Amino acid sequence: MKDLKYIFKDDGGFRCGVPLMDSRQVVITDGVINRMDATGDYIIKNPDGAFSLSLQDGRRPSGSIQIVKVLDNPGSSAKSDNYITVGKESSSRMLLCYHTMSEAAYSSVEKVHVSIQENASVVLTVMQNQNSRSDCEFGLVADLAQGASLKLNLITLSGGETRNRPSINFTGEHAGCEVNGLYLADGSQKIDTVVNINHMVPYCKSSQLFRGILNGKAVTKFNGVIYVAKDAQKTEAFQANNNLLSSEQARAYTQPHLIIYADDVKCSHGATVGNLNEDELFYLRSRGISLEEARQLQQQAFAYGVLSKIDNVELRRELEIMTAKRLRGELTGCMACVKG
Amino acid sequence: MANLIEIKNLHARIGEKEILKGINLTVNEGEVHAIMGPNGSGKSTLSAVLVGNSAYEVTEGTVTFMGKDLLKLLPEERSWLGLFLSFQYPIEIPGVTNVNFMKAAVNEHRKYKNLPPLSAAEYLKLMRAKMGIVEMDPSFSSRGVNVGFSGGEKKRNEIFQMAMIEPKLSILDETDSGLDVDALRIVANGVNKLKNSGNGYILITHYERLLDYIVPDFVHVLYNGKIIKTAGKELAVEIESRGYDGFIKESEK
Ligand SMILES: Nc1ncnc2c1ncn2[C@@H]1O[C@H](COP(=O)(O)OP(=O)(O)O)[C@@H](O)[C@H]1O
Ligand SMILES: [Mg+2]
Repeated sequence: MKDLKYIFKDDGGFRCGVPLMDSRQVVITDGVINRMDATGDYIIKNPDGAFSLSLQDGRRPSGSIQIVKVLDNPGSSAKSDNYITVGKESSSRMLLCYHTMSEAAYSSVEKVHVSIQENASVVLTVMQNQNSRSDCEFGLVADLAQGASLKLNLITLSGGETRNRPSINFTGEHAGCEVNGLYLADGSQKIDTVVNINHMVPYCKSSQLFRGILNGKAVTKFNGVIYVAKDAQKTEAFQANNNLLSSEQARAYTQPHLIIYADDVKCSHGATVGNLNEDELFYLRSRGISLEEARQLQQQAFAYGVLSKIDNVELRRELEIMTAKRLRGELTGCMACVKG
Repeated sequence: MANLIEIKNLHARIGEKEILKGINLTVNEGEVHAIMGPNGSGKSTLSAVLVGNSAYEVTEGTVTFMGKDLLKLLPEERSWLGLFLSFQYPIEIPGVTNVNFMKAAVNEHRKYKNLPPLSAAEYLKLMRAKMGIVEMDPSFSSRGVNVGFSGGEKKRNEIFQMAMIEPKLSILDETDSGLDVDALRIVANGVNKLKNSGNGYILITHYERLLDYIVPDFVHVLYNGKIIKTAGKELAVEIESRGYDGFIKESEK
């Protein structure tokens, strides 16, 4: 990975094409909505430089809704509390993108409060793609009511200093969440992730897979906390964090914390920090694939372990391409945005 | 017949242990050489040294391949020049699909020859044709390299890769071991289809049956890091009935 100068390209009335042909798009620049498709069942408001997105009970809109948040005004710092509320028995697919518009230093503190009500299901993909001078704190707090489900894909393609703080609270029984995270860091980028999964009630399931690929002098930290309250019997909670170091100076720190007060639970965790696999590199090279290309293939394969969990084929392909470009140091904007 | 490879007095070791103790072997275009020999003789070590596995250290001798000093080249450069090894134990690479793997390989070979990369359609057509040679189902292309493949499927995948790359000299390290009769026939037919007057083969094998399908011009016996006997196809028949002991005793006299 080369040092990245990521810019979200404004080609005049831009349209972010990631992911989907069927997505309804809302673009918020420096806190103000500046473009919005017809949002159908989704109700969107724009209080205090933030967004509030809600879906009423029993709504299952086809296609996905995409909120693109762009930092434009150089030196601007943004702090916002955003809300996503998904009513009972509803189902929705959401994409949340974070971009910086220039090479200027930006700083943002973004909080997203997610409430998923009884038996509702949400697939939320968060894509962070900010320049290497930006400083970003992203907190996501999701409360899952009885029977609710959340699949959260947290993809950090680039950022200067990123602090990701996803927290999932199970407030009703028989709810489940799957969290898939991928973070890519190079140069002197820092990515710090603290995940909190709080099992407060019985019969809930959570699983997490976080992977990091580090180049240059990047430093990443992962802290994964699984808390299981005394009454939260029959909890199933899994966590894995794997890091691939592609340079000698990069550092990945990883620490699981399991705090378990219930006695009838299934919990496990695993953490690894490893280098590129020499045997695989040799096999690839023996077929005429240069060392540099073999390293790329291996990193892409590692990332694929997470990206393959994204069900939407179009979105997954786009993220695969962007990841590959990013690992080559070629990514300068979302592909489709640039194309558009 | 132009010379493909010339190995002279090759010595190699791993750690402190000397494994190859003076190998001499020349292969010309159009020739098929078989190397036989008991387990632990150094057959796989010879292949590994030739394709540039850095675990082995060459301590003496020279190898000239396509007129170049082979031992100075990187593994990928050896491949570009036309050297190929069908590994005795092909490894699995989860997450890298067969199609991405071979597309990268074929296009790097094309780049070396100053040819433009293949388009997706051209690649697909080539891949289908070459998979046909080893009767491989196209569904294998979207799977991780060798991941979950049976032993026989891995070996077929090796020959498929060979067919895609079209090397000048291919070394098949026990590609026939562990294959049932049908798989053996498929692999052998594949090799026979790819064999021509411009390329050469080194078949490392324990079994004469492979040599019934692919008839060698020369059979060598490798023992304790040296070639102790060279003859025609009849040598393989003799080994099949008598074993290696007689040749070993003779060489130790
Ligand atoms: N990585 C290794 N470390 C130590 N010894 C090795 C290694 N690889 C091969 N050898 C030794 O080298 C000798 C030759 O092995 P090999 O080349 O695999 O033989 P063959 O293929 O003829 O069965 C054996 O004695 C084997 O134990
Ligand atoms: Mg062997």
